[in-house]
Amino acid sequence: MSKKIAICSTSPSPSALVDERFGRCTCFMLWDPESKKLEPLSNSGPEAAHGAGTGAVQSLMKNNVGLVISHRVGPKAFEALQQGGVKIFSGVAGKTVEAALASYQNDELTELLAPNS
Amino acid sequence: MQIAVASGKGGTGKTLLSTCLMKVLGEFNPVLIDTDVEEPNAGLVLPQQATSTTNVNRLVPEIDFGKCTSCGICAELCKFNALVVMPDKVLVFNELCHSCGACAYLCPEAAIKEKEHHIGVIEEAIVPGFGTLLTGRLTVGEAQSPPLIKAVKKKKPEAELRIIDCPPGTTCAMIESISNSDYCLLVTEPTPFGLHDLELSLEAMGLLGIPGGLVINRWQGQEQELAALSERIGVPILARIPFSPELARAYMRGQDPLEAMPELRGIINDIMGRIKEALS
Repeated sequence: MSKKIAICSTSPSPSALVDERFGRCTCFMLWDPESKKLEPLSNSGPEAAHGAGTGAVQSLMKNNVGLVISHRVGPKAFEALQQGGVKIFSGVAGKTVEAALASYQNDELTELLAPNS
Repeated sequence: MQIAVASGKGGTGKTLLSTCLMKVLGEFNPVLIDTDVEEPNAGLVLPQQATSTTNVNRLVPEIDFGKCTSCGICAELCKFNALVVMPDKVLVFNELCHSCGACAYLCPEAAIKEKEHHIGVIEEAIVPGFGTLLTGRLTVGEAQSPPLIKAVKKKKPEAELRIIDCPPGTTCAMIESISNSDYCLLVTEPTPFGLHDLELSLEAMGLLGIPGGLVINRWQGQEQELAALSERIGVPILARIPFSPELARAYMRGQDPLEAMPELRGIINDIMGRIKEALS
């Protein structure tokens, strides 16, 4: 089963703007390379008092995510994603979820190699 | 008797009042407990002879990977997202862990044990002629102060008079600091910030059912809003410490505030009189 791509989103729609935050993004949009569909995944981060980033990583791990597209990722979430073998791509501020995904597919995004939040 | 000196807004004069209380009430051999463990400062303005340093630890989970099946139950249980379960490993984020022990207790494989994690120290010192100073000092980088505050407050329970120099704010650290006190002195300043944070502190104090009173520091005659708040909440204004550049200057130089402002002694005695009255 190929791994999914998670994109931080401001609402559960492919045309929504990318949410600049990782752990506290409104929700994720998951791209399934097999079905070629974008499906929403809720994120408990916005309501979490603590550990929004690690909580989000746990939820992505459970949902077979292998790659994250996010503008910013904090140190704990970064470490957890790295430990889980999940790559992070950034440089998507101001884009829609669909456009961010297209940018990744066209090799236009840079891989995030250190936490930036 | 345990008196907590709290504020809400930082920099209103908690340490000034706490250390002066200690000095004026030196005959009772008081214990001053600095629970502002992220930046304890009572020790900076008191002459002292250090007597001991004690390590403080708290418990965090340790995974036995020989037993762990990556079932994920621990991560689901953890309210603080301190555990992330991967197919082949479990990540533990100590700084997020609140040491509740639920993961270790409920792990179906008994693969989690709790181990000690060092978070800081308690420094004990004699303040010659005035009593004892207990300082909690959190290790830089540690995110959680309440376990250390709890530990430093457990020391010297037998003392006749315990004064707690609390951290600012109204978060867990302040709540832990003022809890189980007989009385809470809220030091404020007559500014919008002072007033705003005082309201939050009053709410916290009220929820814990601790009786308290206000001390207005840097008083310059204007206090209408503080007076109205005091009236509305039913928490009295016990004292007013006048604004004094001389006091500020002397204090910053490490000189004795009671010498820089001799009337402070009377103000402190009045405050103690009002507290005794309120508790009798």
